[in-house]
Formats: sequence, structure tokens, C-alpha cells
Amino acid sequence: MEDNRKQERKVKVKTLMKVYHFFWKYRRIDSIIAPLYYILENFSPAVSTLILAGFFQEVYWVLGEEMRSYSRLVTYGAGFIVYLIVKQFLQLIASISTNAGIFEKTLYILNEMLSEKASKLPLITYENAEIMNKKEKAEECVHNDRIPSIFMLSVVLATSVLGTGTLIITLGSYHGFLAVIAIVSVAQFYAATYFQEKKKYQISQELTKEKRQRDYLWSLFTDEKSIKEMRIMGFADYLADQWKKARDKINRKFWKEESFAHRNMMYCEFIRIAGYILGISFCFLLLLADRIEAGVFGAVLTAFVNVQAVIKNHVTSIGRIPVFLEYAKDYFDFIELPEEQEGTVNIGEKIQKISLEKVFFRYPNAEDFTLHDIDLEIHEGETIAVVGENGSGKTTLTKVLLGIYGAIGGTVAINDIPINSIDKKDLYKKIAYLSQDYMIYKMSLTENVVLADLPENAAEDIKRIVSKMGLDDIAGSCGDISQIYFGKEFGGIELSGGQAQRLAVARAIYKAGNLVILDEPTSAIDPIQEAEILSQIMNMVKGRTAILISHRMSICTKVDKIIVMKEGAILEIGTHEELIKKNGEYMRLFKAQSCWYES
Amino acid sequence: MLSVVELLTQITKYSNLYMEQRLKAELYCGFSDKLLEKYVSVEFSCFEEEHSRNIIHHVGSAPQESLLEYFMTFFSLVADFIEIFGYVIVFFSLSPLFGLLGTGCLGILLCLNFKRVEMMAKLYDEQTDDERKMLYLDKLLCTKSALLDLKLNDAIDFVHHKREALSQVIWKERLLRTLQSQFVYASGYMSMVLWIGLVVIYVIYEITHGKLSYGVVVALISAVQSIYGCSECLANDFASVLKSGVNIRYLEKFMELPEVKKVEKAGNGEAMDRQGCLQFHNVSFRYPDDPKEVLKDVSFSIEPFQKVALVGENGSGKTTIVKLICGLYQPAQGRITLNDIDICELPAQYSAKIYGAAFQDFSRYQFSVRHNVALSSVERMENDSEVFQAMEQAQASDLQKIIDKPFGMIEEDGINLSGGQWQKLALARAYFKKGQLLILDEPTASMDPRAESELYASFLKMMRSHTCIVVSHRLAIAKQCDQIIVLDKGQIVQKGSHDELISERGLYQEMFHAQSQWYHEKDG
Repeated sequence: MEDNRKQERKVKVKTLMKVYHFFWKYRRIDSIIAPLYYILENFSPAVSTLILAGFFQEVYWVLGEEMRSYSRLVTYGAGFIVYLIVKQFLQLIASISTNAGIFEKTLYILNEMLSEKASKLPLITYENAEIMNKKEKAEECVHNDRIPSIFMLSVVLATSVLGTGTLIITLGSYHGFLAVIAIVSVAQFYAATYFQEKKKYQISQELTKEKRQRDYLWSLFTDEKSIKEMRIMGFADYLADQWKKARDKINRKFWKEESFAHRNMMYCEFIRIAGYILGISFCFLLLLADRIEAGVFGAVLTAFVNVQAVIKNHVTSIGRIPVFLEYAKDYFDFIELPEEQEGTVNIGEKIQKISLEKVFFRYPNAEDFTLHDIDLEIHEGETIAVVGENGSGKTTLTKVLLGIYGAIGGTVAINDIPINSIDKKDLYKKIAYLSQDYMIYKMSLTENVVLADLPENAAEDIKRIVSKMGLDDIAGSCGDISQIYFGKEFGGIELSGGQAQRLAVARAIYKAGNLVILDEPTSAIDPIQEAEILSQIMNMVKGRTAILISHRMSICTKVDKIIVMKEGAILEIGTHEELIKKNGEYMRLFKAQSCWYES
Repeated sequence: MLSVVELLTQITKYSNLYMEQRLKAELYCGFSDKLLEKYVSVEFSCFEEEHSRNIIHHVGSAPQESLLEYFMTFFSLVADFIEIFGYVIVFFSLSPLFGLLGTGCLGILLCLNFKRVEMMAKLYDEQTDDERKMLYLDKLLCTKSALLDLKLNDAIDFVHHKREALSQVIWKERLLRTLQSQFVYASGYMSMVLWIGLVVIYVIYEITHGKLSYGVVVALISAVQSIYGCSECLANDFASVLKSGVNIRYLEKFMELPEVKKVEKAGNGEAMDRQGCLQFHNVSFRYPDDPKEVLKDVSFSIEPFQKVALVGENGSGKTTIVKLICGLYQPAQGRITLNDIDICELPAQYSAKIYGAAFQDFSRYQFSVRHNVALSSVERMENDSEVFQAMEQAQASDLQKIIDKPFGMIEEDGINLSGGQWQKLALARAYFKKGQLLILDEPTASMDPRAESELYASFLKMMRSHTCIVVSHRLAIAKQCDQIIVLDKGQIVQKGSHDELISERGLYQEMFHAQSQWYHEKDG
């Protein structure tokens, strides 16, 4: 128990150090300006108290005795004005530096680091719920400005030591007891905030599932797809009820906590006021005992209130920091996840041979193997079709073969070089891959095809390919195809499913490469165009190594070799004729589809 | 006295907080209920149209927060005004000139503050596009499918650079504008400081002439300090009222979006209890604000228990017909009737019973398999045998063993399904409904051949007790239907059975040939 707490404290200190390190590294100037300002600002109450006390003293004397010089009065008055101007000026600089430099820019940087990290993680981690959960928490931390808040809170705290000290000493110089009352009467705020924030964090952890559910349910009411279904089939009311239930459950818990917190804060304030009354009474006693002068009375009271206010502020932030650090830890945990290992060996000009030997693969947290004892060799220039039922491991096979997912057993090699030691960037330059979840980027048409800065003279090439894909109605809508943008939300064109897939095929054809892998390239394209696009694809793969995955068995009649997969294993390999003759799994799959077209 | 005041202040402060919480509770429940109601009744086309989508996007999931903020800050703004007014009165009583000067300076402060907020609001408005683009790029770099694609296309750096360039632009502009607006704000304060300077000079002058008493001096100086502090509150509150006002304008626009017409009278219900004939009478359709007709003068009739296929190229109007049948769109011209009753005039409780539908862009409900199947008819959700039956019909029996397991999006150790499995659940959902019209829009796109084939077989069985409308690119399924409606550019070009259309040698024959030749070339 004790060890645990020690450990926890150690982790928190470490996280705090990481926060400082971050600011020192990325926002050095702002992270100097902010503390500087706060050091100065902490003197502000003391300075204003001193100036005004002096001013009032002077006034008191001036009014008492006729014959005093006024020069000191003017000095104090001018001092007060200068004080206000300087304060305003410093505040301006600090506000710019804090708002823009510490908060906003940091948000940008944190987001950038987050997405950079996310893009460098091995793709397999995206199958891991635990890590995705970490990412969600990291995003929440950024979204709620936790890291800059920690920095600012702690800066204010650290820099205030001196200022607060001055303030306390000022008050103490009138009488030590006053300082003691002022401090003690606000100490309870620390405990109140600490437990309050801790409870909030706990509740928000406890209710993660409910919150997700609530937000998810709400999103259904704004999503075109689900709106359509719920209206047609009439279950909008049911979902609305579910949402209300989830919402009320969360709100009840939070509100209960909130009113509890309010009440606690009120009790804390009562204690503070009791201290204040005590302070006033004590001042009166001092006044009666002639220990302080009547002119100073107001200043003493002001000082007392100031000390109370400042200390209250500080203890409240001290109470907040530990919980904020928990959020920050979530962020740094994600940022420090191990990144993908990059190999260095160059595979040479061409992909001549891909070989898989006794390859097994299993997704994280899954019980069954997705790939089971795969032995396969693919040679340069071969066109291969991979067929099989849903979930038989076709897509996974291509991902393992390219080293996107690491095999668990066995070896994957390209040109006899093990996949792990290959320079992947170089390898991926040589391949064209079309995923079944094809992507259309909300960028320009040319960017979508090239996915890089547009090379010179490429526009014509792109135009030709796009037109071959039957996308003339889109490419023709504007003279300069680099000015055609996609994505309704950015004022661009919205593509239909079929058009989007054809554009994705165009991307693969443009890149072509040494090895072409197309995963379900025509699933959303209508029949007449499908035939046209399939023949374009077959044209393109001539003379290249190609792997085609398709549910459309028709494609199999055109390839050199067919791989039939079932439950993660290769069941049959051969040409269309051989496999039909064999009358096995392939025959069944083929018949299942072609029988519908027999006349 | 002082301590009593302090005590009272604190008590009012907390009773205020308590009131705010009560208000929040009321608002969060009552208001969000209203909002949800609005969401449910907004015309469907609003979700497809860019302008209204933008409004919906801006309203977000918690507009009540800005409403509450508006309300609360508005009150504290009024309170600030009253407080300041009180202090200013003090100066008016001393000298009207001072009072006027003070009010003038406050006015300048507020005006400049208003300008500051406007400057920033304008900037945010201008930058939303860029910012959304940046967020989009950020998201690309965190999404599995995009990352796979980008990695294999060696384009991750490309996206990073694009993102960085955008972020630079946004940041530079924002910094510049922040600086400008802060200076505007500060100059407003300087006018206040100027005024305070005048007061101090006045006080000193009066003292030297012995006209002011000690008490008045203390009162004046502390009034000055209070006004100074108060004006800061006033400026802040003013700014946030302005800011939340912008959000509220969106909310207002949202509440004004057109709603689906509600049919009150229940008289037409009985006719719906028996299977009816669905008819299109010269129906035309175009999207609001778009002169192009998506459907032109479409007429057809579907008899009870008939199986009908809608075929045609992408964009020929198939899905629009489906949406019209389902009542998601209103025809621009013509009528759609079921049993001779206009479907627009069906009361909601009857129309909800008619349709079972599965679309190509079906929804994946992250609850449980059971929910996914039974949402179409929630009152039968616990009826295991019917749920299992629907799953069997959709070839999804293998999911029966995980029927009540939650999905991964809500729970960490939840399950996930493949695209084909999700599609089968969408189909099961349509089957489970057992409505009189079964509508399938592209139901087999991501299924493997075996599942597709079995699905067709079971589909034919299903048809016996339903009127059925299928949209498909796979003409194999059309072949099995009683009637095929071939669409081209929003018009019906052919109508008839498979055999009739094949012998007609039109668009249908061409399409069917294109698809089947891939299977026959080598055989023949």
C-alpha cells in the first residue's frame, strides 16, 4: 500500500518533468515569459497595497496638519497611475504569450506529435483495443488542455512563493497572528479541491463506457445512414429512449457530485469568513491597544483579504495538479509507445521472388490463427488470383506478405531477403496496392492519383488513366484537373461508391510498379463498367507480378495461378482448368456464382 | 457589517451556483429532448444537403452549453452594468463632468472590446475551413485504413508536409490577429487608466484646497479600483455573450430547418393491414435548389407479393426511387400510392410497420448482434426464435453464439465483425421486420460467392410472403424476379421479365451479357 503510493508519486513527478521538458523543448521563450510575469504579478497586490497605504497615510496627514508638502502626495498618486499602466502592459504581453504560446500553439504541437506517433505505429497495433483506448485517452488529454494547464498552474504556484511570502510578511509585519489566521482559514480548500478533482477523474473513468454509449447513440441521430433506417423501420423512438437513459445515468452521477462539491466549497468559504471575522476583530483589538494606527487599519484589512485570496488560489491549484497529471500521463504513455522497426536492406531493382514458408499469423487478443501454415512462392511476371470465403484470410495474406503485419511463425522473404530487414519505404515504392477499404482523400483529383506533389507533365497521364476509368464526367468538369477537389465538407465534389472505387483503381494503375496487389477492385462498380475496368486492369498487370483478390470468380479465368483459401490455409493452387477438373472447393465457389448466369 | 456583507455575498454566490445547476439540469434534459425531437423530424434531405449539414454540424451535440453560457453571462453582464452604474453615480454626484468622462471611457472600452471579439470571430470563421482540413489530415494519420493506403503509397510524409504547411499558415495568421486584437483591447484599457489618472489628479487638487474629507478620498479611490476591476469583468462577460451569441444563431437556424409533415388522422390505417399494390403515377423528382430532374415521369405498378428488380448504371435513379418509396423524399410531381392511398398521407404509426429495408450504406449499430437484427421491430427483440430465424435467412447463423456480446466500439473487450458479416446483419434486420414491403438496395456487394449464392436462394423463399424490391448491380438476382425495371438517366427504359428483356436486345441484355461473359468465355 505504502509502496504503491510511493510508486504513484514517483510516476507523477516523472510526468511533471516530462511536461516541463516539453515546454522547454518546444516553447522556450513563452515558458520563460510566463513565469517572469507571474513573479512580477505576485508583487502586484503588495505594491498596490503599499502605494495606496502610503497615499491614504499622506492624505490623512495632509488633512490633519495644514502645513505639509504635497509633493509626496503627488508622487504616490503618480505612482498609482504608473503602477496601473505597467500592470496593464505586462498583462498584455503575458496574455499573448500564455494564450497563444502556451495554450494554442501547444495544442497544435501536441496534436502533431500525436498524429505523427499514430502514423509511425506498426499497423497491427490498430487491432489492439488496449492501445486504441490509450490513444483515445491521449486525445482527451490534448482536447482538454491538460498539459498546458499543468504547466501554467505549476508556474503560478512556483513563482508565487516569493510574492506570497512578501504578502504574508507585509501582513505579518502588522501582527504575526493575522498572517496565521489568514493562512489557516483557507487551508481546507486544498483538501476540498483535491478530493473533488480525484472524484471527477474517477467518475469519468467509471463512466467511460456510458459516455461512449451516449455519444454513439447521439451520433446515430446525425448520421445519414442510421437516420434513413430508423425512420423507415420506425425505431427512432427506441434509440431516443436508450439515449435518454444513458444521458440521465451520467448526468445524475455528475450532478450529485457537483452539488456535493458546491456544498463543500460553501463550507470552506464559511470557514474562511470565520477567519475573516476573527481577523477584523483582532485588528480592532490592535487598534484599541494602539498597536496600529487608524490610517493603516484599511490597509491591514486589505492585506488580510489579499493573503486569504492568494493562498486560497494556490491551494486550489495544488489540489488540481495531481489529477491533471494523470491525464498527462495518458498522453505521454501513448507518445512513448514503440514504433515500427525499419529495415535497411535494399531489395534491388525488381521484385523477382516472394516466398512464404510455414507462415502463421494471429491478430492480437485473437484465439484462432488467421493464417495457418502458408507455403507459397510467387515469381516475377505471374498473375495470381486469391479466392475464398469471407474471413478466409485473403487480405491478411497480402498484408503479411508485404510486411505490414509481422508473421508469428515461419519466414516471409522478398528476393530471398527476410521481410524484416528490408527497407520498406523502398519496397513500397515498387508496389501498387488497392485496399478493399479504398481511400478517397478530400484533396484534389491529381493529388488523389499521385499522392505526392504533382510531377511535371503528369497531368496528361493522369487525365488519360482517369478517362479510361470512365470518370470523364468528373475530369471534364474543369479544364485543370488539379483544381478538381473532393469532399462535400470542403466544397468539393462528392463521389458515388462506384466512382470512388474507379478513382482508387486509377491510382493503382498510375503507380503500377513492379508488383500490383488489388483487393476487391470492382465491388462497387456496375456491370458494364466492371467488364471494362477488369479488362483495363488485366491490361495493366500484363508483364508485372500481380495478386488479385476478388469475390467475382469470373476474374479467375484470366490468371496464371489461382490460390483457394479456406479458414486461413491454402486449400488448392492451380489454373482455372486444373481446379475445375479437381472438382473441389474452387469448383463449388465457381459454380455457386456462375450458375446464376447460365441461360 | 463588513463580515455580514461578505457572508451574504458568499451565500448568494452559492445559491446562485445552485440555481445554475438546477437550470443546467432542466436545460440539459428538457432542452436536449427538444433537440432530439427536432433531429428526428428534420426532413431527410437536409442531412444530404451541404448548407443544412453545415448547420447541423455547427449545432453539435451540446448546444445547451452555449445556451446556458449565454443566459448566465447575460445576467452577469447586467449585474456588472448595475454595479458599475452604482459607482459611476458616485462620481456624477461629485461632478457630472467626471461621471460623463467615466461613462465615455467605459463606452470606448466596450466598443474596442467588441471590435476585438469581432476580429477574432472573423478570423475563426475564415480559418474554419483550413482548420477542418488540418483536422481531416490529422485524422487520416490516425486511421487504420488510411494509414495502410498511405504507407503502401509512400505518402505519409506527403500528408505530414501538407498538414504542416496548413498549420503554419493558420498559426501565423492567428498570431498576427491575436496581437492586433490584444492591442485594440489594451488601448481600451488605456482610456480607463487615463480617466483614473484624472480622478487622482482631481483628488489631489481638491485635497490641497482642503475640500475633501478623508472618508470621501478613501471612497473615491476604492470606487476607482472597483470600476477598474469591474470593467474587466464587464469586458470579459461582454465578449463571451458575443461569442455564445454566434452559436445560438446556428441553433436558431437549426430549429428552423424544414420538418417532415406529420399526419394526424388515423383513418387510413386499416387499409394497410392487407398487402397492397404499390404504384408510381408519373413521378418526377429533383433535389431542392437543383433544377436537374433526377427522375422524369416514372410510372410503374407492383402487385402484392411480386418480386421486382431495379437495375441500371450508377446514377440512373434507382436509389432515388427506393428513397421515394420509403417516404424519405417527397415527389416533385406525381403520386406514390400503396393500396390507393398516397404514402405521404399515412400516419407514422402505420408507415413504420410497412417497410423492411437493407441498404448498401447500411448502419453498423455498436450494441449487440441481437440489437442489430431486432432494431427493426424492437417489441420482438427478446423473441429468440424469430431473431434466430431472421439470422438464418440472412446466412448469419454463425453469429448466434455471440448474440448478446457487445461490440468493440463501446466496450474494450467487445467483438468486431467483418464487412460481410455486418452486411448479413443488415439483411437480417430487414427480414426480421416482416413488413409488407421488403426493400434491398445492393445487398451483396461485400459478400463472398457462397454467401451470395445462398442469400439469393433464401431470398427467393422470403419473397413468397412479401412484396419485394431489389436494387442490384448483380444481374443474377434480377433474373429471378417477376418484373425488372431498367432505368437510364432517371427514366424507365425497359420493363418486363428477364426472358422478355433478353429477347428485347436493349440495355438490359447488354448488361447481362457483359456480366455473364466472364463466366462463359472459357467454358464455351
